[in-house]
Amino acid sequence: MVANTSVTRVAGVLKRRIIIDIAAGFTTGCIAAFSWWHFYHQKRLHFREQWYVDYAKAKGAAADGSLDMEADSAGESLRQALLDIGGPKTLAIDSGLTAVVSALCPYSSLKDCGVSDVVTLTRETIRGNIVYVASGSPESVKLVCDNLQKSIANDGERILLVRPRTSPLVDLILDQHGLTAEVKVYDWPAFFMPGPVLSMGLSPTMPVNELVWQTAVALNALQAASNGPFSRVTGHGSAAKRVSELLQDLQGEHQASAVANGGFEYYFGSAFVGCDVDYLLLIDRQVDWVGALVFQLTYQGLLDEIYGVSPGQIVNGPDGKVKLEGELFNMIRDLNFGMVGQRLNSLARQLQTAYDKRHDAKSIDEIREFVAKLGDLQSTQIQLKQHTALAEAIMSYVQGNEFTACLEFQQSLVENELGTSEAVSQLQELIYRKIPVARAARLLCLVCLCRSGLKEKQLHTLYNDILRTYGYEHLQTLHDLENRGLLFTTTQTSYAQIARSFQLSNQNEKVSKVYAGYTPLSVRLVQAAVMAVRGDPMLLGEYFDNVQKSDHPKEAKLRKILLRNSGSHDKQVIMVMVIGGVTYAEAAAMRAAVPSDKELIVASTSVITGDRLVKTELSPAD
Amino acid sequence: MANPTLSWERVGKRFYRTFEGYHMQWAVHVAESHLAVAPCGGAIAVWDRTDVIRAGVARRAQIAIYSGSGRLLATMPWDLGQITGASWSVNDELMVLAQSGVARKYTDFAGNFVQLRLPEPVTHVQWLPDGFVAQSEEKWTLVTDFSSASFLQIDLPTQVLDWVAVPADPSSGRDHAVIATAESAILYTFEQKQHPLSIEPLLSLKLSPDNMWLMGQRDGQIYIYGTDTFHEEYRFDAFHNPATWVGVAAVAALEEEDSLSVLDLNSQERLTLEFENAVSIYSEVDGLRVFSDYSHDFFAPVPDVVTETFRLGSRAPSAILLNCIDLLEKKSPQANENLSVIGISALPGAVDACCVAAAAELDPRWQKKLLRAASFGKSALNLYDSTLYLDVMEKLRIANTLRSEKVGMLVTVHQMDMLGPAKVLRRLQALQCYGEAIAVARVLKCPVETVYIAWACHQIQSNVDLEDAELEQLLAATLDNVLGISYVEIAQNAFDEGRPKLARTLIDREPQAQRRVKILLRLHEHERALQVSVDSGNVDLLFYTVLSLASNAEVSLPQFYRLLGDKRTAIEAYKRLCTLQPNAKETVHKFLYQMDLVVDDINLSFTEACVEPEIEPKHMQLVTVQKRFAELKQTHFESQATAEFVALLALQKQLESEFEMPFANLSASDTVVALLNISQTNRAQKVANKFHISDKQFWWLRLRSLVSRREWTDLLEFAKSKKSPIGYLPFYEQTLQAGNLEAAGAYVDMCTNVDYKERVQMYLKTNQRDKAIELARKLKDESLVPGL
Repeated sequence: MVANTSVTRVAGVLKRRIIIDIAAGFTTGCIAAFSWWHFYHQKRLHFREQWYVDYAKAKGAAADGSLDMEADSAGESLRQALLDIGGPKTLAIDSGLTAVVSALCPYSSLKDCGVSDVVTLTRETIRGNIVYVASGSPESVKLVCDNLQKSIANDGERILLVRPRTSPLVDLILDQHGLTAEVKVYDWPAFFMPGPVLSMGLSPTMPVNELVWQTAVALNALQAASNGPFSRVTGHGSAAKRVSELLQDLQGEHQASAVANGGFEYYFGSAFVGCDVDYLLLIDRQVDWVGALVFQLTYQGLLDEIYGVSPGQIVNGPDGKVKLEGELFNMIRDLNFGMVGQRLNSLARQLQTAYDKRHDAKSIDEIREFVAKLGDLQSTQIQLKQHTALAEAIMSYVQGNEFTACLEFQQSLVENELGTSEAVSQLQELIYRKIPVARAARLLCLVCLCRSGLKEKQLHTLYNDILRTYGYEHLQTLHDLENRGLLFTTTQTSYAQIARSFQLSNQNEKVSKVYAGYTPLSVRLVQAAVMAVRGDPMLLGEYFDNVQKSDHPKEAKLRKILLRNSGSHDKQVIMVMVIGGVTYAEAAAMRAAVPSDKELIVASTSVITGDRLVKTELSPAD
Repeated sequence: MANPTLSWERVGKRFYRTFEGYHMQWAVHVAESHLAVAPCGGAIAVWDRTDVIRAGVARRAQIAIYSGSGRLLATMPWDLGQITGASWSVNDELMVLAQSGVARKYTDFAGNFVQLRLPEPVTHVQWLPDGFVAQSEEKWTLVTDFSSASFLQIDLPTQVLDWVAVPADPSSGRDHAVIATAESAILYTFEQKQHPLSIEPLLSLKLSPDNMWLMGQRDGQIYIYGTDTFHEEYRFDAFHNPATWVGVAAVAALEEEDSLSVLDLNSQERLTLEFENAVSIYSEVDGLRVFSDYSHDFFAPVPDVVTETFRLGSRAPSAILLNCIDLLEKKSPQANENLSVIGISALPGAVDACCVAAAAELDPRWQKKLLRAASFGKSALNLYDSTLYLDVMEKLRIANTLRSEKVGMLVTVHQMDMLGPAKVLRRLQALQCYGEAIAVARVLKCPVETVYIAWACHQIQSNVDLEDAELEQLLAATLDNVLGISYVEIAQNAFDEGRPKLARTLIDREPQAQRRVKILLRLHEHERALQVSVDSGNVDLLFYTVLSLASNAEVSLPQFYRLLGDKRTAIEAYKRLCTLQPNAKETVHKFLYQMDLVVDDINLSFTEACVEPEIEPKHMQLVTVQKRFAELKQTHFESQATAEFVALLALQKQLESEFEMPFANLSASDTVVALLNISQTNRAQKVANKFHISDKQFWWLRLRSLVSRREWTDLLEFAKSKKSPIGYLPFYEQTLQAGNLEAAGAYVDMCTNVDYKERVQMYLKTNQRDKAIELARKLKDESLVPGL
């Protein structure tokens, strides 16, 4: 009994002491942990984060827009090369690059660099200092050589800027002409022209393998200039597949050379994935010829169809040159043309009310305020006048019998309302009306594509009509279209099947307004990429989906910190690259298809219209 | 560990110490040889002294090259007679000048060299970092470029006592020069300018290692001048023997073969060092190298920081900090007290001092101890910039590697900094210490791939008896783990060593297509080069390859065609390149013919015919083209179309002469229209029939022709002549578009197959309200006409 009580008593004491010990232990432990956390860990954490912040800053504005930066640096490197030669100099530009140069480097800034004259590169002798701008193609370099040989007799320094090519071809050709010592050769890293559509300014009729290579090089440069590779790349069509393969090869090479150069670039160059562009969608034009061939109905698209838009302006408009920029233009450029008149009207009314405010202005301050705004109002007024004139000119063009007939025919084609023989006879009638040859060729291709190939006899009937109406020289054009897969006899996949699967003619969507009821496949593919999957990609031939992962072990952590600190990267950025050219209207529809929480960059090898797509450089122009 | 101060020598206020370097592996008799030592612990070139005659030993005509630890690296056979002198260039190339005037520069240890011959025999030579100044009977000659026979000369003045070559000074823009003393001293530049200097007539002139000071001797006295103005002058009582700099702190001279006298310039006190054997000395930027038959040591002043830290009884913070480590080892609590003795304000300085002292130390044990002390001090500080600490650690890691027996570079950290990482790496590779080179490159974060490449090349050269496959395995075992290796150089090396098969397999490992193509072309692997550039997808590269092959004299045209074979992209590339040649047309045709691409060939001829401006030759060409098309089955359509084209041309010729107006360049339908326009309707109908222009189209053509001529009555007549195969809507539309409402109105009645609603509108548009109302009423849809 006694023993028992003593045992329990002892146990109680023990328990109490243990509790005290444990409590004390916990308290001191907590205090220690707390102080460690606050005085040590947080401080180190802060230090480390600071490093990453600095890193992010060091990588520069890249996170905000490597695309703009790239354009800037291309312009800058051109100016730099120009400044390399003192005194006045002539800028001789390869005809294929004039648009690129003017887009990247406006004439006024060229003048500041001492350019006295800008000429298109020909064989004609140029005096004094010369800066050549050439693409690295053999023809272009050869032209430079020919010009050099003529101009060499004159004194002066000479520089050759080559849009970056990736082989010693330029050196070899110069060497074969014995001109290596006569000219300094620089790389000119200009890939994309800035604008609503990032265009590389290549010819749409360039052979596919060349388009593929140029695209891969440009995308690789973009990846290298930004914070790392695209995180996901998907694509449709064989060209897209090839681009992604080449891109991987180039990335490997880039990484290997980064290893060789050691240091930062190697360790952190590919640390992040998808910092600037989360998602790259590659579309081979071959997958959707129809989207490029149908008439564009947006304002900018129609301007391009009718007058031809060279970057930022139209040169041969009804009233001469018109600059296509400014807030006003941006407001109407992607509108379906049917709505442009309305919008211009309401803008005119707004402008009028703004002008009328001057009557309400009573105090001196109000008048002053009005006068301050006057400059803006006046420039808007001028723009409004220009665009109204343009819109009127377009209107009369669009309402002409011929265009209406073409448009109606096309609409019934893409919406699959015509039988093959009916389509053929309607097209014949249009040819008899002698619509322009490019348009005829374009509609011929459309018939062929939308009817999933024509019988050889039908095809030859139409060929004969075209040859007899427009001249037998166009046999070459037709050959070329056949070779490029725009004209064919039979095909495995039917257009009707694709149209049904991807719901190409669905009237009740925001997107379909752009083309008045029709949605090009390319636009649907963009939609499929950003939203719910629609249609079966396997219908379109090759399809791939690559997710690129960072090989950096701490990528996730680094990214979190970087994102927290840059702040600008809250939108998912999607880039669509169309290999073979994109139209303005397509781009407009793609932008309309993307929800506002995502950003879409439309890029392409060139901006095209259906006419430009079917016209080849080889065949004589009509 | 005994305190290092025990082995220090005190001269005045300063201490001097000798670092024992290596026990030399060589069998060189220093007293009987000349030594040329590359600065900063580089290789040592040794050749025999001719003035010492040793009985029974045959003179070897050679220059031996040893590492700092006496490892024999190479022997260069020498057959140019007496050597005036030898030295090492900044790039570690051995420069040797023979008395005959032949100067030779060995570019590597394998014995490759460039040389040139001076016009006259030379008597003396003074070396520059990149060349030398040689003295002959009458001239000084400056040579900096061994590969070309260009050199600068200036005439020798009379009675030159002594002279010294002064290297170029880029900061002041002065080129290489010579300072000579005769009765007065003069600075001669090689631009033929002379500047008198106010210097005593001195002997054994010597520039300090940093080129800031000039030393000369006379009558047992040493004179020292600053080289910027030559106004500063110091004079010391010293020795009669020719003196050498010890850094810039002291000068030293060999009194005997085995005894060295050192004069500290600060305190002017002297120290004599006795050696067991004959020694040879060599001045470094911060000390003096001492070579004997058995050893290679380094004698240097002790830096003040080190003195303070180690001196017995020192109260300097760094000394106290170092003491802490001893206390810590004894687990004495005094270690912490010591920290408070130093005080928080002096502690950072003490840590820095320990780091600097560690860097100056050559013994790893003392380095470690000093760094431990620094680390201990650092831990007591809240904010301390660890850059110096880390920097010293890194440098010591490299320096200790370099000082190892195998590498044999006895360098101080200061000397290593002067060399720079690139040169350190190059030296390691020249010494064939590849493992060390990679370790150092890793520490320095330098690219390691060049080291790996050098290693691989060395393996290929040295493993002569290995099979190709074995050698490849040997290389792969190491190189496979390294990213970014360029195999170009390695493959070239294998090829040069007579292993073309190995070269081929190595090229396949090269990641960059462009490099691969270039080396394949160089090794005459044309087929492979073309295949690689096709597969790479790089269009430019393909152009390059095709053009290189096409302009390669070794590849005959048939061979070239065979190479292109069925590579479609390559053929396209060549076609485009052909157009750049002067006689493009013939070349392309010949090429297409040879390649059996007949259709392409005819198509090309067709295009050429199309752009031909003259009608006669165009006709001729097209006839040929048509024949060729007709010969082939698959071009049936083309042949027909071309036949029509030919017929059209013939017809146009005929029409031109008939109607005396141009018909050329018109299409078939346009020709018809042209005929209609001159009212040759029957003729037009004939032509239309001939060219299979359908009735429908013919109607359209007539319609257009009539509308364009505004022949409204004729048009109506034409419309009524027959039932129109194109309906009457086009008549209505075309006339309306031409602006003639009245004429257009006539056709509305005829458009019977048009929807009535439409027709009502058409009536309204052509001002036929009555008819519109009538039609609307008839169909009981009056709402169609507004205002009814």
